[in-house]
Amino acid sequence: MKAACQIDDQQVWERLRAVADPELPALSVVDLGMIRGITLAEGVLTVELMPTFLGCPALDLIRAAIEQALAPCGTVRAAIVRDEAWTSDRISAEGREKLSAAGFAPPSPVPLALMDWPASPCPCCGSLNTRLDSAFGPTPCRAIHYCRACRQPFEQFKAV
Amino acid sequence: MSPEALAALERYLLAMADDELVIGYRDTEWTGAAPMLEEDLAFSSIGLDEVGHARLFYALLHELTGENIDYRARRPDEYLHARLLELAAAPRYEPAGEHRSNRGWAFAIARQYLYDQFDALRLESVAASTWQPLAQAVDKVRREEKYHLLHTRTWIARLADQAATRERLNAALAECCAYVSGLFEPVAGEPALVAEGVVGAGSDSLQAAWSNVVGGELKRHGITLPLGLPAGQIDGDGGLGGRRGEHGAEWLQQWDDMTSVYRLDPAAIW
Repeated sequence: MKAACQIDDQQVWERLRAVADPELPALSVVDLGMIRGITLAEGVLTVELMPTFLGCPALDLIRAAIEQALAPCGTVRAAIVRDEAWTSDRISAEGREKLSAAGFAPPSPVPLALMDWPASPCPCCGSLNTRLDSAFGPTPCRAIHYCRACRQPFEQFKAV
Repeated sequence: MSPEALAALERYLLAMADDELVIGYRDTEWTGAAPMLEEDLAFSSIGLDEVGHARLFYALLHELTGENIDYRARRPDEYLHARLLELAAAPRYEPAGEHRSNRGWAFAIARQYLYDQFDALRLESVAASTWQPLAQAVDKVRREEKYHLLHTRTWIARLADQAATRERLNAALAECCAYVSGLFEPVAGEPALVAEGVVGAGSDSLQAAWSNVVGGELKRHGITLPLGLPAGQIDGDGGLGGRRGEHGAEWLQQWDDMTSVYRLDPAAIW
């Protein structure tokens, strides 16, 4: 980054890695693959932000957090990406590990067909003897499953 | 794009956005009133998704026309949603203490299922739109909508399984059928959109495809209904008029609820 911006690309990404998803504080927007890119043009730093879910109520908070984290860069704009869909396949390997560590099953690869739902491994005991209880959990991005082996309900980040 | 197609696309996008906004708002009325906690969550989530999709379509409309659409700053007759979507399903408690039970859970499931099937076909028909921003944007919407259909299909099977709930489901589907033609009411200028590949299929072919899919799935549960018949062959007027801004009394109530804070204070944030 040059001119108006006080910090370089690497530092921008570093700052973005510190912006947490308010509903999954263990993960950053970078872990989630929500940042498509950063560009600097005419003194404005634009962060291309891909919403995980279009109706996510945390989206405005995330935008504000990004703009705040990058405030030392001068004028910052978090622009919502519409020409490419965010998919759960964008969550990084590190992000998937952080999900597991926080007690969430990471998403399966995105199913091709509607009825094609692989069982999610249980994050407590690792068993595949689980069932999907509801595709809708406490946030738009989480589904509720049940593990028959250890008899625990658990949440999975939805494959989308 | 020709001027005719451009004008029709404005109406088409507005109808898509308003459909999602209006059913999304109705879905959120189940928060705290659904038959079980999981359904409070599910219908709140589905409602959030739909309102998110409406936001996307309003943003596309902005991209197309340069005009900003504030959904709260429009008159009731400026909304182009299908009338099926404005019907009240969730129970309502008036501030004075009066309670209205409205159409109930089976109706909410039946409507959501019939609408999601329609919406899936409509989204498919614009997935290869010659207007690139629309084709690119609906990929995300389709990924999310898959979960809605998964959910409502499960509920249809569940309600069809027992005699008592099956009776309610049948009555709810029949009531919806009196309004489904409104989903397939074309916006003015639709032929230009089809001719220029902005949408892949006109309302007539969507309705035929929808009748096949829905008719086939319900038949597996032993349910047959006069689905997809033209208005006039089913009770009522087929729920037509929405795409021209004509709506019923329940819409006025919903509009009043949706816009009340805005009308008190246009600068309020909540």
